[in-house]
Amino acid sequence: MKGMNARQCRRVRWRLSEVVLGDERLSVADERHAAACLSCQAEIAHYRTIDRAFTALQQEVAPAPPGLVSKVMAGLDRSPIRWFRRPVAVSVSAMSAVAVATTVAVAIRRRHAAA
Amino acid sequence: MENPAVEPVDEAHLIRTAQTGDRSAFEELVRRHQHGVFTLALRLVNDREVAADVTQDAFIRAWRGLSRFRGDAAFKTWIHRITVNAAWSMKKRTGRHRALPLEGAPPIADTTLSGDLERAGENLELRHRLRAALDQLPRPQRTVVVLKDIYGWSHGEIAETLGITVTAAKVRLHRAHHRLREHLEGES
Ligand SMILES: [Zn+2]
Repeated sequence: MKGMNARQCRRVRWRLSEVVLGDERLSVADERHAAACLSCQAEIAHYRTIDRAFTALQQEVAPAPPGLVSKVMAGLDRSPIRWFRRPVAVSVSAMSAVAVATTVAVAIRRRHAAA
Repeated sequence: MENPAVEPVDEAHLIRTAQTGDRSAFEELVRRHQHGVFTLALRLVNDREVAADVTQDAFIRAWRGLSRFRGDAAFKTWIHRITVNAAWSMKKRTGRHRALPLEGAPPIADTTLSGDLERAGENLELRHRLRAALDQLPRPQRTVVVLKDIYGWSHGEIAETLGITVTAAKVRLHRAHHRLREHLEGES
């Protein structure tokens, strides 16, 4: 019985990501298991946290670089971009870029709020 | 009489005008959608410079295919599909790219999602961690996650746009979710 429970638990846990983040449904028996199982509950909590973060990410907008519209318009008569291999090395990590840009955005917002 | 300077021009009208070859109407469409397209491109390719190129490419493709736009989907949906294709062609041709910069979260994101400051901080922290975890995913997995979990596309739409089966899209997504969860757990 214990072995079967463990198997069921593994199977249910494997599917929980798509139940919480997607539109999959558990069977009644699996639902009953998940409701009573601490491991499954912990798993559900993790995916709900991820789900909340996704919802938060949906609100974010990365402003296009200045001059993009003119560049697009100037490019309308040219052939589509031919992609080439770019050097991989380079620059600040993107996460630092996020941090910098977010800090700047927050600072600007605060300035607006203070004004 | 209404002041045309403050009256926003209806998008359907802009599209119809642009379809006659009117560049200023198309320019207005680009202006309206540039940030959304750039944000999507950045989420897909992880590099601001490449994302700007993808955005430019997407709009150029849109201009060329504008006569085929029938208006059965929103222009935004249409241009987003073109953007995914542009990013996808680019990915095939360029090398690996770096992290996932999605900056400039508008203040509304924090205020609508949280009742208090502590919660807002938590959200911000969570978003940073999720972005970092997304960055660890292989591109094909990250693409389906971005399209499904951030943009709300269906498995069918993802499959059709990426030229894969619905099952493949689902499998990719499932693996990606498990990897995200592992990355997030490993961090905490
Ligand atoms: Zn369980």
